[in-house]
Amino acid sequence: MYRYDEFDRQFVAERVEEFRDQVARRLSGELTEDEFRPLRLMNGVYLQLHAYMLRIAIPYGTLNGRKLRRLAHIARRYDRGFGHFTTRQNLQFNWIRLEDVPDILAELAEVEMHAIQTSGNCIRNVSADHFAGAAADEVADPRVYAEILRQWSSLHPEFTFLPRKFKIAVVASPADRAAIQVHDIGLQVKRNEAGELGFAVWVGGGLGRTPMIGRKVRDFLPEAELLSYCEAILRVYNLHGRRDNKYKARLKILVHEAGVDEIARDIEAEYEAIRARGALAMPQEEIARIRAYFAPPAFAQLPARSSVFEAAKADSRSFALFAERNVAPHKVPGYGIVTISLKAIGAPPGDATAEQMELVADLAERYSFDEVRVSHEQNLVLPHVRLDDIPAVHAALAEANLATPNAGLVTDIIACPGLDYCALANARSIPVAQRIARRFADIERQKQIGDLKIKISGCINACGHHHVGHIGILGVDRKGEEFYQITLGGSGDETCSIGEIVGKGFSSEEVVDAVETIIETYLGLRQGPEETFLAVFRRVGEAPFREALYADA
Amino acid sequence: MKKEAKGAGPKVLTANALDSGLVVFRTADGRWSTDIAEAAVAWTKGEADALLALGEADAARNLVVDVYLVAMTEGENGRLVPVLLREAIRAARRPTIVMPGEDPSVIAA
Repeated sequence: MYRYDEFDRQFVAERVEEFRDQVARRLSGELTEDEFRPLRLMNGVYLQLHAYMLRIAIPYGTLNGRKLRRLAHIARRYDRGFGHFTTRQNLQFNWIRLEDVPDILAELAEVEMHAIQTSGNCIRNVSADHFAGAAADEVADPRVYAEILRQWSSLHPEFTFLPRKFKIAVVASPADRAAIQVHDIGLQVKRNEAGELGFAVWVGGGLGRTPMIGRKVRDFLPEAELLSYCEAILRVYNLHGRRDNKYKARLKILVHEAGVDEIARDIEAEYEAIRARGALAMPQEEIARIRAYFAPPAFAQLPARSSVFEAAKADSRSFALFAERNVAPHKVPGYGIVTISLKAIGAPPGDATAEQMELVADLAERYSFDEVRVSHEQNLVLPHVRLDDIPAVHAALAEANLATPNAGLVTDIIACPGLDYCALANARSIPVAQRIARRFADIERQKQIGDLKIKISGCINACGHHHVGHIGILGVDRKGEEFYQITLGGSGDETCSIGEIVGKGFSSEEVVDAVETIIETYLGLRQGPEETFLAVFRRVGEAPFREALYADA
Repeated sequence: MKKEAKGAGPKVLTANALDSGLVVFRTADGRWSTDIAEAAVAWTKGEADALLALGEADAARNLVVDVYLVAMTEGENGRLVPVLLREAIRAARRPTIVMPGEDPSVIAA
């Protein structure tokens, strides 16, 4: 993974001291809240429902044991012993005291972490496929480019005052595991017919109150042109993005209002001008230098089949279930990609205690070449585990309530913090997720249902990504009561679609029954167990579900 | 999202403490307490306006941030409770769910 050089270390250290001074001046009153707010946001400090919240950047979701242990330490020392992994691969602490933030940032800096640009009108954490470097279907490690973009976007002087936030995601396989089409810039690393590396580029995707799927503006951008082209996109956005209305300020609105053809023309024109100056072309040796940080670990030569793994599956039902759902194929024979579900039945989705973080750190160091990933679906991943070792990993995870075999199943729910934590929320999301998980706790029933992504947001800002849930749930406030609107047929993968509202919303008492009705309707309509919920919805449309939900109304 | 209390009815004044970020309520003797039971109650618009002005002065003195009035109503036991669920959650100073690592008994079933 990327390691700070002297410049990085000094920069982050100076940034911590700068913020320490800003906090001191705020506490003394020398800075007003209006003056301080943009400064604290640029350092990831929000004021939330119960306290300050700190959002720590986890670049492209990649951690090692040392970093994860430091996060555990911060949870224990400065917070309430746990953290929340987010839909942008970051970590949030909910009980932070402003006066502690400089010390927290100093402790993070010691392990090469920070909270810079995790908020504010700037380029946010560049996210990437959480299976990067391990997936059998990738053409390259997308994190190489995520790191290049991270360096380019950190404190970019021209893009520190954008009309609004800006989010970039990168994948390197035809399968999209990072929801790139609902990002401001989505990049898919690919090879052209000559075998050269480059990118397909989408712009103007986003969720929130006006969900939009990104538009492809380039089918193949040569590798060396990545920064020139992204700079062009940002310049067009910075110049033309609306600044009169916070709710119409994202790139997606600009693309929608101006039309993708006009925006693409503007981007290409700006790109030509940038290219002519040559400043942002990436020399091959520079790309290679960054790529070296992501060199594959020293994989052993192993047979594709592990008798230990197979025997464990035969001996243990719980391990067999885990192997079926939570172990994905690795590009190297004899290895597997292990998903650690942070969705234990009834637990708050995406949360991990300090003890759980420390266990995962131990397992990463021992079994996964000291690598852990955070997925945008709020789970953790050990990317490089020998099949031989997975039974031992599973046993350790099971003791810490981290072995729920539900990756991609109905109880693997994405939920934003919602009204339990968030000052923006209109309704609670976590209890709804917990009640759905309890309703479908039976693993056999979950397997019968198959792949099903439920995503829950507590307000229209859609941090729970409900628009791209197969079943999406949006919490609203209806005359002081929590009320839930259901959407169907969303997807964040390469077949990206925005969910459609199924009809009238449901009360808190009704919503779990409604979800069950939807699922039972699916089971009754499918042509066989291999036809997923999403496939059935796309085949039959909304009508059967609407009828099942509202027939008696 | 935040909804400032308007109209008739009892109100209390809330904010977040600047240094800790914790939810606080202004008491009759000018303190900011984390316990809503100690909050000064404004029964009329005049009282509410006066209470808000005092709170904003405290914000200007950098004790608190984000000062606003919370609508209250009579609860089951005759005590005043917030009208809105959001404010009730804030006043409880914790989420409605069991937090990771907590004993489940902290939350009533």
